[in-house]
Amino acid sequence: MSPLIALVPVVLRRLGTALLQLLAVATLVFAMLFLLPGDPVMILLGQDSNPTPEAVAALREKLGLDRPIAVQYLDWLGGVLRGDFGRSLANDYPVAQYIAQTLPRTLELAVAAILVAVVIGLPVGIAAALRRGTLADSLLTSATTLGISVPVYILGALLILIFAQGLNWLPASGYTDLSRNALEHFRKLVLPAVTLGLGLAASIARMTRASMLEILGRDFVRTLRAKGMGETQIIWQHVLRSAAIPIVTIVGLQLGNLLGGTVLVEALFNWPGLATMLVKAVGDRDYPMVQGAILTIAAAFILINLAVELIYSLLDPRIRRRRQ
Amino acid sequence: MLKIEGLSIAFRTAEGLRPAVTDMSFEIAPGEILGLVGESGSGKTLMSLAVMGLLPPNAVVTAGRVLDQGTDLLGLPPEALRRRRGAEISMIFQDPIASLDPLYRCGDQVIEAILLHEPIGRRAARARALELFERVRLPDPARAMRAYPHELSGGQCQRVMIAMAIVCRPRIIIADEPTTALDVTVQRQVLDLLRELNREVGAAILLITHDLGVIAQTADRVAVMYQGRMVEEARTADLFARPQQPYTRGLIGAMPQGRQAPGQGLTTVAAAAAGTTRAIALRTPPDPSAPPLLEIRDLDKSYRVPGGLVPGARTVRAVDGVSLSIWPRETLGLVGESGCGKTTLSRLIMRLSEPDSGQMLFAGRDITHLSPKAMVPLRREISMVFQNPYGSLNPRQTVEELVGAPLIIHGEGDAASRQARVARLVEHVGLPRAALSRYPHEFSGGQRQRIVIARALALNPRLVICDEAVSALDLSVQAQVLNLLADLQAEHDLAYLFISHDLSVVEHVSDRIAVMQKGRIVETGPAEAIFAAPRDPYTRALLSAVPRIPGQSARSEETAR
Repeated sequence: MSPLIALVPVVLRRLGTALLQLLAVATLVFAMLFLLPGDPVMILLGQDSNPTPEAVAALREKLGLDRPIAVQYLDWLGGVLRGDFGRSLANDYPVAQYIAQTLPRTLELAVAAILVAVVIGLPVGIAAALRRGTLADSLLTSATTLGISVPVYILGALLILIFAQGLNWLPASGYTDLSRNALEHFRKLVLPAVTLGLGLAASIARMTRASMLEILGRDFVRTLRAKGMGETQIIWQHVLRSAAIPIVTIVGLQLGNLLGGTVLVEALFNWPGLATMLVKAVGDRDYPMVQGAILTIAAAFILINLAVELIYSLLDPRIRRRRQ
Repeated sequence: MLKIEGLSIAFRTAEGLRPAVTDMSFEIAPGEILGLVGESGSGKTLMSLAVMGLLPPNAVVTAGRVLDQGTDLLGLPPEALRRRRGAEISMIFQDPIASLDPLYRCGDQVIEAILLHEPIGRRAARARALELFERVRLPDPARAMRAYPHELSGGQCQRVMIAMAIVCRPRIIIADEPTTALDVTVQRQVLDLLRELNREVGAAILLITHDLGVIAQTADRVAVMYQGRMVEEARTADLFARPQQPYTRGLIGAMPQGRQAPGQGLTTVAAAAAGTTRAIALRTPPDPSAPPLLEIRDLDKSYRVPGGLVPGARTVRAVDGVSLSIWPRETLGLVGESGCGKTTLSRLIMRLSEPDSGQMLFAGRDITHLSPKAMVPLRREISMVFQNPYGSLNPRQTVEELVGAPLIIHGEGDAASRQARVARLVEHVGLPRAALSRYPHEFSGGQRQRIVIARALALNPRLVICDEAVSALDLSVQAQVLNLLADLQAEHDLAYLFISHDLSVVEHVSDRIAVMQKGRIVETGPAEAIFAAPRDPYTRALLSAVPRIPGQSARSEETAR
């Protein structure tokens, strides 16, 4: 059976779990409105303005908050299923349209950061593992410690200081639409992507080093040497493939941090993404916007985890068979 | 022709070179099998890695030559050596499943070995691999080609390894403990296959093992290594009939052969060197008319193996209607191959897992469904010695804390009396008093097993379950531990449930033997009767697979060639 066909049942089962997780998140996000202190209507009308009971009742009715909770819940779920997250309280604009506009920008930033992380982290980890115990290894390993421990906002400020203000190679912040000016778009992507990705690069480098060293000590590597295979082929064809399994795990786990990091990075670089929208909505007490943004981020996280699990199954026949 | 001349290997350490192999010389002719025997740390594996040019980075050859048809392999550049590996010299390793890449199909791994050395197409290589899989008698060779290593058994993986080793018709094959990880019946098949292929291929085989039985069954000549030096070399039959050196005599004497004679222990290397034998304490024989200490009736335990998407999990009957009795002062040997349910049974007796049905009586009392709290006083009566003395001792506790732990758990005496009892126990198992304040890593495997035994005896149990208690130990250490267990049994009137896959050890220590297969007890009886006239076909198969050494009391029909 081809590995891809063998995966079909695995995918179906995992998709089912993912849907249940999404339902749980949607429920929690809905409940947030009632669990948080304060009456949203009063907050919206402004507590100091002493609104008339008629105004309160009117807004309550407009928001549908006067209906029974069960009805509101089903209405909310139904809306989510149709991709309708309600309208922004601030300007009555559909939340879904805001998300459609900002989500791609955040995804682009995240994907670029992952690329940066893999392109830097993998080679550094491999190089350190192959030079284990040498000066080069210690230097690379120390650099990764630094990379993990420097907070995003300090790293970002430092990069702006050096590459934007000092060397003047790249713009310090902002966003240009791809359709308007592609070059400028990517020039503005570089610094936020590097800022966001460097920590993950350091994690990947450490995991790659540790994982490679572990695999290099396995019995089957000795067998490969004994059958006359050269070191280069052993590493690229066999060791890296086995070592990739824990690396994928770490990438998957760290992606949660990465999504959290976008809040800081988007703010630092004025990147008008989903996280920026979320922060603004929280400030405005714009509950439908907050709900929509959180649900979207949670869905992204669940989908990423699903993808990581499927990659496992592709990489490791033992997991594949066990799942059948 | 492989010729080793004055080979010396040392480890680079901070204090300079530490010799590991000193002045080894031997040769192997085409078609010949030379057995290299020695205990762990004797340098035999290092020797083989030097021949392959695969020494670890911290080991260096300090003297000598490795001649393959007159060429000194040690002088070859790495690339030339790499081209010879797999093509002219190949190797078979101890743990066959771990020695294959888990992420590649078995067939592809053999094809890879062919393509590394021969300019043929992938299709031709595949055909050749398949043909070899037939030749090493893999059941369903086509399926084995497609299978990943974890989908095959250990014996089948070793056949894949053998196929890979002979695929380029090498002149030299090094087999390093090729059957140590395998069950005895599988071991027999693999060794037979190795011999048969050797006759066909005509390679010189260096067979490295710690197991004298394997040597006796397979090798033409034997070289004995001890502490990095060769102590003796002889034709196999001569070595067993007339061992010249004290070490060799000690090693052969340490092999359990037949039943333990009253008061006579196994010879240890030290005793052989001193020309003495080891006496063990005489015990009062068990009394079969007395009520049994432990009685098991129709015990069942099944595990559900998750079936994945398929509804309805598969059920594995790990223990299937087992009935057994153990009398006071008796040793009951429980034998069977891996996965037969031995360990599940011991866990049930310890009440570490719950039986599905059946009954267990300890000293006449039904313990089958006692609550954990009601079990506490009984835990003093039954203790356990595990297989791996490295894993069963907390590395952060001193010997005093380790051995004293059961006393504290059961609130035994005060601090002073506990200390005195621990000191007595440690002395009793033959460890120096100074051992008390040391940590497990400061001891050898045999010494650690003594610590485990001291801990098991701390509360004066009546039944000790030894689950593969000597399987991880070297032959001479195993002999010491078996002698110790015999002494302790006599002194403390212990009953042992001795679980092992090693039939010669079980035969040596047991009064009665139970043979287990697929969760069932297929045969029970006095040790002599089982070994002299096994009734069950499985028992017969098991016994005939045990390697016997010549000139010894070979009670089964099998004698060494």
